[in-house]
Amino acid sequence: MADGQVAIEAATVETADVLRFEGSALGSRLQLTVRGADEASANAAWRAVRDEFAVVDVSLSRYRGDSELTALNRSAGRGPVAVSRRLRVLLALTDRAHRTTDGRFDPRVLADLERLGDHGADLGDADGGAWRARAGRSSGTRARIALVFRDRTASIDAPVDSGGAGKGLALRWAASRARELLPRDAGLLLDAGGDVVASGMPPPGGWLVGVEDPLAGSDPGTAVAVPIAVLRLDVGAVATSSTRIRQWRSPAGELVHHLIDPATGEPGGDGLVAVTVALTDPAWAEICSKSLFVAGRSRIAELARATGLAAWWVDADGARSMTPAARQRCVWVDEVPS
Amino acid sequence: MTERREAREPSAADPFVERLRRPLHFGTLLGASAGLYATTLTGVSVLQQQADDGLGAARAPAAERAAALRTANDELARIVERLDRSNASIAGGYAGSRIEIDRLEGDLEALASVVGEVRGAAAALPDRIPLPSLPRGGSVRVAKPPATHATTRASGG
Repeated sequence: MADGQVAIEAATVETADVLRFEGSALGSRLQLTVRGADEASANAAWRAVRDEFAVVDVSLSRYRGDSELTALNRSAGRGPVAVSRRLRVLLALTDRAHRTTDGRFDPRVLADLERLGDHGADLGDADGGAWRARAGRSSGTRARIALVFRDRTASIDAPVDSGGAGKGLALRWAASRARELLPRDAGLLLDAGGDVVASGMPPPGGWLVGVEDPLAGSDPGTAVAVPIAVLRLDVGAVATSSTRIRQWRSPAGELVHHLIDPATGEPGGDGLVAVTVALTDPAWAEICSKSLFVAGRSRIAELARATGLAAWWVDADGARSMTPAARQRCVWVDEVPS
Repeated sequence: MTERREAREPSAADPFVERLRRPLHFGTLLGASAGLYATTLTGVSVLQQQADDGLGAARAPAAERAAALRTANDELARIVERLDRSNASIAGGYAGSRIEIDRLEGDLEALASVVGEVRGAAAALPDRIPLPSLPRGGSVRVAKPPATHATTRASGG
């Protein structure tokens, strides 16, 4: 077995032509499942996945002092600087996401994350330090996140957080590179810490992906977490935004989480615990799950149904909901009486 | 001297001479009359031609307008004919639609009758139907979840 390759676990679907690899990247578990491929091409695909995640880490991580994103953030408000293709794509993606979600997605919440105690790399006096003063103040939907120019430069007025969009892009690019190394009739399922993407030929019946119950951990009697639903994924992505992890005490002593509402600069998603979205692209699945989460319990149903998204969500009372598009994707739903 | 003059000039009263001169006078008179007549006729003809030319020039715009009006009139006649045909076609279509509307109205009446029956049946239903109570013990799952290839969960992003 190659480095990182592990035996198929008993709880997973067992077929003869499935190979699974595990590792870690971007601070979370990385898992590649390949079907219909010989061991050599599957190993090559796994190497390509790990390489892509390593490159994305160097380019888009806000926690690394030597990353390209940190260098760009340090130059905020000082005019255009040269950026790589990956960083340009991230800036263009987040800029578009900010506009299409009516401002519910905004990577400039970095100032609020820092204020609340989620510290990344030191940005020094980026933007003359003015970006820190903007924490908690919405920039509105008209203000551009970044200006990306044809000469491969970009300029930003305030530091940005790659966040889930960066991980979604890593999944997009890694799955694409790995798919090219596999035989034509092979398929893969790539899981980066709970964000999942499927590419190529799926197994008969499709890839089955469970949607985690975000409240299962609070039940000590539950030995194995039962998903709230199992959905079929042939080609596409699933992403979840949840407060189950990345919660901490702010300097003011309040329990806060990382899903910031750009309109208030405070942790958003009032009344919600988790939102899952299935979409074609992993980066957009991440963006949509986060922007739906920020909408909160009172608005999520209206927004999710109006946009036709396949979305599942769980509120703080344990109530579970899904859109009609999500129901169509489900092969199993946990029908627990409430 | 007087005799010589008398010898050169014959006497005016000579009848022979008078007879010889008479046709000549007639001819001269006739020629002069004819010339005068021809001159007068030519003048009249010229004047008449000038009058005709003036009248023709004065009538030319009116004639052009009359031709234009005739052309416009012909065009209007064609349009009226076309509208007449179109009107006939619309009238035919309206007649067909009227039949269809009548049929739909009939269907609506039938549907209204069915709705009335359903309303009556619904009104006859009891407000509440008691169901037998079922024992509930903890979480009852309809079926176990199928084995999965992966789980989407809090990604921290």
